Amino acid sequence: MKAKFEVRDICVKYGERRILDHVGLEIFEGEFCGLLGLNGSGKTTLLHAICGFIPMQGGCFVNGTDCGKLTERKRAREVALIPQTCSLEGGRTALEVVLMGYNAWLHILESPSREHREKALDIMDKLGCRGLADKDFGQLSLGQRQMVILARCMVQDTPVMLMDEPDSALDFLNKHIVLQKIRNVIQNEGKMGLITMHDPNFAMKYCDRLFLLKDGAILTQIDMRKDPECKIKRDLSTVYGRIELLKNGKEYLMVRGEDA
Amino acid sequence: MKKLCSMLLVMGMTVSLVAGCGKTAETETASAEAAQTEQETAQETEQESEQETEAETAQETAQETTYPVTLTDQVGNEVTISEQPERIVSGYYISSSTCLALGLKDRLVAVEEKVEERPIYQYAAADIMDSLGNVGSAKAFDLEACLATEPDLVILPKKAQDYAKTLTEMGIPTLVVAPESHEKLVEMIDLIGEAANVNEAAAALTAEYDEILGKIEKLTSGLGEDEKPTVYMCGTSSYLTTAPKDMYQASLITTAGGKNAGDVLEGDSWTDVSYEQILEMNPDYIIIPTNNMANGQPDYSAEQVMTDENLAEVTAVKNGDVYNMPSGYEAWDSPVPSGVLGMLWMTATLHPDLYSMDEFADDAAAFYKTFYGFDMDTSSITG
Amino acid sequence: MSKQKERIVFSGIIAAIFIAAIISVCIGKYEISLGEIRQILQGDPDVSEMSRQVLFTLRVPRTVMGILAGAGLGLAGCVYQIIFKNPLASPDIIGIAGGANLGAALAIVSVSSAGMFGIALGSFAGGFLAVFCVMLLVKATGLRSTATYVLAGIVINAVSKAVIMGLKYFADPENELAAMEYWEMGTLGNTTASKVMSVLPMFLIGLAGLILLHRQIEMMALGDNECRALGMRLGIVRTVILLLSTLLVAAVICITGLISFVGLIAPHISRLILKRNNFHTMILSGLIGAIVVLCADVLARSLYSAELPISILTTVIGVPMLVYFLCQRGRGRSV
Repeated sequence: MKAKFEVRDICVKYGERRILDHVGLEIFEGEFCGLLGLNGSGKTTLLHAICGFIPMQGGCFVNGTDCGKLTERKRAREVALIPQTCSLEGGRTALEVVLMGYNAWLHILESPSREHREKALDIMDKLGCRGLADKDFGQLSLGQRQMVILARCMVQDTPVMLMDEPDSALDFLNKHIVLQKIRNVIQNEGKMGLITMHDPNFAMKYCDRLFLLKDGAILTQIDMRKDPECKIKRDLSTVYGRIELLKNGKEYLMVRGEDA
Repeated sequence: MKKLCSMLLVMGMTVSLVAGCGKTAETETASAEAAQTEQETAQETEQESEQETEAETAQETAQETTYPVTLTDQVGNEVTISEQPERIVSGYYISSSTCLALGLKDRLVAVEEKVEERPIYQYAAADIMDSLGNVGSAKAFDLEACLATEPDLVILPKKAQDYAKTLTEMGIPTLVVAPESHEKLVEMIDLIGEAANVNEAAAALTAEYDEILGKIEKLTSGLGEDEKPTVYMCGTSSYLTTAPKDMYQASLITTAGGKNAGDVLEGDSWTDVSYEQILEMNPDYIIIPTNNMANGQPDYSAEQVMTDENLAEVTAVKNGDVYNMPSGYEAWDSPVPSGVLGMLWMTATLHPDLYSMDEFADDAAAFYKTFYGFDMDTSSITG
Repeated sequence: MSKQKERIVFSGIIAAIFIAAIISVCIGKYEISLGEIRQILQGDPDVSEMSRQVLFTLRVPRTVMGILAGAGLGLAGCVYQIIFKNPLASPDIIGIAGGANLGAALAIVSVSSAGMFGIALGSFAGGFLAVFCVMLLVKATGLRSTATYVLAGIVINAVSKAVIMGLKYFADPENELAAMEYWEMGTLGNTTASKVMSVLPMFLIGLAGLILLHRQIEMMALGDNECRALGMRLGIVRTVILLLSTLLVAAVICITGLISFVGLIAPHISRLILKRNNFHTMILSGLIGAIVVLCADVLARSLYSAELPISILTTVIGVPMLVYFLCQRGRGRSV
């Protein structure tokens, strides 16, 4: 049976304000899905709710297991999160940062073994950042840091990968590099990826499906693999207003439409 | 053991009796012998005849301490001294001064820090000043410096009782003293007297107390309530602090035939007051004590008090009755062995018609001559 | 910093501690010569009983306490700085010192004959209570961010300061006030073997716990959410780590009183030397704390005829060290 990640009917309230309103979505093995929406639409809140950082109603299920009922430790074996930027300010080598990914698999007093180290280096090798292993994390460029965090996420070895605008601090080239790596990892390892993004063009290029979030609810979803141009344009405009969709080969490009 | 206990008992009674005498000041011409006779009587009446022999033994201890002796110090610890102590360390200025008064000068090997700021050492112990060790203050007692003097008796204040415990653990007999009141001071003098086998000197000193107190009592007994002036005792840090009801300094005023203005306040340590409160008390006299080091007045002067316009309406200021306690010897406002001189000085200040300052100067000089063996320059008092 | 350099740094500082410890054992107002010490260690019966007593009851415990105090404060300071992600975090920030101080003051006032052990117990209880109150406040506000902890710490500190001020006001100046001030001043001068032995178990529990949990402490340099996403049970782990470091701090300061500055500068110096902020930094911070306190104590009892308060000297020694390494860093590359 194909692996499946399901978010069912999540509601989040801050006081009286409803941030998320009955959000539900499904992601299947090897799928890289994007979560698009304007600021304040509830993208990050959704990811945090899934990770259990904030109280919520509803549930999220990884292959049928309800993550909401798991301890942090067990949950971290099912769901990994790549933050916008890593909160670490330095003082650790990149390898040490990557090794933190083993936390959910190690006993609380246990230290990573030689094998763990080897494996972590292998993963860094795969991502092309092995050369950074002994460098101080604080001295790496933002793109390099996200690569290290991606490596940590792979070390954590979870079926579900959540990403909170991992590309937002990166330059144009690094965005492409990082997103391509993430997409490769998800496809090759058969993971389920959910990424929040600001730029629909990058989302359309790298994601398989897009969920459009507005005012805490999912309006619609776009399957980039099969939906026709007119549906994509119509759906995107529900969030972004007047837009034009350009076509470049197989890829779409969204630009802001002329004012009427 | 039984003997030891009864000795202690008698000792305790002796102490409380002498203290009692001090408190009520009933004995008018109490000499050392008279006091002893009284003790004997008291022992015999209170102790039934079967204990007579033991009482007699105890009587002997008042003259000569038999070692080893076990004493109870002023925080209730039992201290056993095996031989007559020849090397005494005193970590507290009051006990150091007591040792000097009891003629233990040559057995003192170390005292507290800052001796150069206490004039009494210059007068009474100038010859041993250079050889005296420094064991620090009660707060930061220097255990090693103390041990380096190889003491066989250490006397420490209550503040330093934790250090005392350490010394006791190391096998050095250590007495903790707490001379917080006149009675406690007398108790301490007897304790040190017995510990160092100078019982006679101790008895003489406490008898002198009784005599002085009796004298003051006699002088002031005829005073009516309205003849007793209200006295405001300034604190050592500021004249906006005063001695409340249960403080030693308050008893000083009462003994000398005055009313303590601070009696309206509860407490037993310097208490802050406002100008308003002083105006309300409206004292007839304002007294500025000697500072704790006894080498001068606190950081403010009588002039400052006199010229403080907030106090201009106070009777004492209007009449110019603001006085400094004499400096240059000891802090007579505190329970030091010469503390009775403070009471005498207070009497002379409040009631010059009953007891003149010249008489006081003579009495003070006699006191220091007898117990500390130096001639006091009385010009600072009478002049 | 390469592994080899790191090894040199560690062996260097351990050697320095060893030398300082020997000096510390030899120096004091009571004279014991090196030869005498050797005789005592060889069990020679000719040495005076008092020398032996001074060595074993005062000198050696004092030296050991100096090392323990510095190590405990340095290590705990480093842990606080890591888990509160605040370079100014020290026992003060989260209210431990304030609470411990209050506990000690209460013990001094309420138990009339409070010896060192009563005070010790009070400071333990006070420190733990402070941490507990901080946790409670954090829970009450519902915000689990670092800032809330620091704010709660400030609240606890303010409350304990106020209560202490009140206690001081009503304290008996001759005895209780003196004891409180003595405790706030800090000294190793009243360390005895029995006192060291009585807090050693607590110290070792705290130390061992922190060393065992070092991976978790290292991870807490991450943001709260990141920690949780990596599978850390943040609430429990943070509580345990805070309790362990409080145990360490309380075990030290209940004997020595408050020794200022060590918990703050040792971690900084350690980070500046290693240019890292990991387990090794924690250990080095402890070692640096130990050498600073040892040197300060040796100076405290030899500079002047009376003993000086140790906090003066830890500051005097620590500040130039910190400035030196800061300048080094300025010249080199930033951490």
